Amino acid sequence: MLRRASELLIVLGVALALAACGGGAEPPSPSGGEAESPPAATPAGATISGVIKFTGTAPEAEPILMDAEPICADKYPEGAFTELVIANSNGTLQNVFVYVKEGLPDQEWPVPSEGVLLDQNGCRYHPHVLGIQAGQTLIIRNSDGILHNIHPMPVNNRPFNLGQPVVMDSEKSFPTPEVMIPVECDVHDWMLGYIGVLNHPFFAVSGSDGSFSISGLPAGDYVVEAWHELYGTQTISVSVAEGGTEQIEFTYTGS
Amino acid sequence: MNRLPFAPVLRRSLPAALAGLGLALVLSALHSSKSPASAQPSVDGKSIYLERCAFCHGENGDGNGPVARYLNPRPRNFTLGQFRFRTTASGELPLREDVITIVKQGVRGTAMPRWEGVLSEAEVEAVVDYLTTSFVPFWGTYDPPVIAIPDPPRVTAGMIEEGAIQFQELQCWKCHGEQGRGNGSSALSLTDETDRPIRPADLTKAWRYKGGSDLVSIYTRFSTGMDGTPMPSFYDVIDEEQRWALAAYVRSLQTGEPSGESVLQAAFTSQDLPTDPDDPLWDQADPTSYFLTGQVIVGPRWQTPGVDAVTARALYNSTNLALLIEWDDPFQDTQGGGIDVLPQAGTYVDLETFPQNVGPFADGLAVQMPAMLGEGVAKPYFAWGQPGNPVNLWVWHASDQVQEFIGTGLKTEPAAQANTNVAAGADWTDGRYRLILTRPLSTGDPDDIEVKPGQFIPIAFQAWDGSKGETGTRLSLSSWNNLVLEQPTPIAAYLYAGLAVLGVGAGEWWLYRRVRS
Repeated sequence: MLRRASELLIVLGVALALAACGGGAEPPSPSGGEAESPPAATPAGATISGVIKFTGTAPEAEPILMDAEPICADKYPEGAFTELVIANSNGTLQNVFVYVKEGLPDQEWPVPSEGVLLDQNGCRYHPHVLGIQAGQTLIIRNSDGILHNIHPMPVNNRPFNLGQPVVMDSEKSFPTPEVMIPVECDVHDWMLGYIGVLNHPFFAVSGSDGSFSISGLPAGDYVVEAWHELYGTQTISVSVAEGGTEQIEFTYTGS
Repeated sequence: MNRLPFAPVLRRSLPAALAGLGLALVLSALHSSKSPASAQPSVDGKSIYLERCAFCHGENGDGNGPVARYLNPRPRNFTLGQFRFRTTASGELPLREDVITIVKQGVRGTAMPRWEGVLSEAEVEAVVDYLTTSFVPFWGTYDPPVIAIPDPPRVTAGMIEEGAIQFQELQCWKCHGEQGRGNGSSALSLTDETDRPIRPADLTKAWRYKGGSDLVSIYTRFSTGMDGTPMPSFYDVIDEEQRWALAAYVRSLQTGEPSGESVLQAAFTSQDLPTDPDDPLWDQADPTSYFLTGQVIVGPRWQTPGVDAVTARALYNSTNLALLIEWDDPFQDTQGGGIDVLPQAGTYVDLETFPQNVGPFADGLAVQMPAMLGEGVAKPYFAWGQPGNPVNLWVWHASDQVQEFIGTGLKTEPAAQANTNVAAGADWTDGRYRLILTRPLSTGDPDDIEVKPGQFIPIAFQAWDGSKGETGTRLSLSSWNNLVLEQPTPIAAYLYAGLAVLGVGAGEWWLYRRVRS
């Protein structure tokens, strides 16, 4: 049940996609959550990859009381817990948004025509942290079929707050780069997610093995930033040669 | 007792706060006296803003003027660029006209007064242009998409039924409650754009719809959403017909707005007085509603009360009087006896630091009557009486039973009476209390007045909402009203009336005959 605004977005998306196709191969969609890297913007680009190390102790995940929503509660037979810090068993950290902060050539990067999915499932956001390009379609899905309101709270972009009372998709986009935009559901105060908006495709989110990979980069000197919702940001400067691969490593320390 | 960390700050800012509230009062007085707008040749939006708006909204438009911490809801922070009352899509800036409308109409139930009639049209436009261009991010950088509001259809019973279905399917009740009383399961955890707690509107109270309680306003609110609050836009979810149906249904929930009628008529019954609020006998008693306001006479003054209206019915028989008092309270608070750490300063309650760390307090309700009645006895002061002219308080708390007190003013704690002759039975269902208080007409207790038919007995109501941090003098209260026990009409009254009609008829017949002859 899309209306004018979303139709406009689709038209815009298609137009941008066509423009992008003119410039070269159409990249598939980047997404967060898993350790997938955004695709190559230039075929034989350079790669920055690495791992988010975690030392110390993570704060204990707190149980979420979902009694009011049995549809969601039933999806967690062992109970649902907060996702503030997810430390992996291999000494790494999940849900860290890694992106090229500085050093990119001054150019416009094509916006993928495919949207990025933010799924509300089990009264949680999947993925918990995601990256998207400015102007790229964000597909907001309600898989639960109970009332969610999708309520991002940006500073550099306009906010929105849409009620989704049934299983449905809504489409939106953020025109301006912003790291990070918190997303909340007021109906379920435990629901929290983050969206990183960039005007280029060089970002990734660390997955369940703590690794990330950003590829398709032109050769150059870059500042790469890592962002975690509790532990904040860190930067590393790195130079990559054309077609080369550089390994970097961020380390976050718990208590 | 713990000294509050904010107490010194409070004391220091006291003069400013009082001055600010004074100014706010003067401003509203200006409005109510409908003083003519000063016709100035040139209109300077900035000076109007600094003179009229900055005390609440702040010189920098950040909603943090000197009195902001005493207001709930807080004054709008223009620098966040989020506006509740718009005709544009969710998250978008309002139109210039939207801002002008709010400035002119004010926001009901808040400190924002109506400026129409105080400021001229040109002044309103100038101040709106000043604040939007000076403070609001993104202002003028794009054309916000408008949500078209078509002409409303005529409301039918079928529409209201369809709207009730929409209310269920859209799950409006998750915040607003099944009966619309603002008591949904998510209601307590809601926060605004500044992370301060915010409660969903009690849709049964027409006077609490900040953006207007008419059909078009309701339609507009859930179409556009209310930015900065948890209220989302449902524009993409239902079609126009369903939207009007939902608006019609929500409007049909509005009930019990006090009409200004002050007399509570107690109906006579020869039966036993009901102890069940659902007893059909109550249908014989006319409900009368009264507004309550926060207690702002002694410090700490309480400007944002929880209970702002009660509806009362009264029945009596040959021996007893029973009152059925109903009021909305979204959350039932039965646990009392909590710690109250507010300083007893002669100022308003600082909402930035309240009600954290106080309580728990139980909900409560009090009925107040004079302790003495009769010729030559003046009515006591409406708020707990005064020394020398006390009141009788029937105080019911959700944590325990009803007890009678003697009140001699807000500065003295009411004294428990030796005997309590009032019985209470209360029910809280889905955000609404129903309390029955019963007392013999004559108690024989020297602390109580005798209640006689035909007499005007001053009566007032007071309420406490525990989860809003209310206890003691932090309560809401009504002014004096009157309770009248209707005198059962004796048969003789009908007889005399009939005789009078007959007499007049006979006289006219005689006159008619005389004129004809």
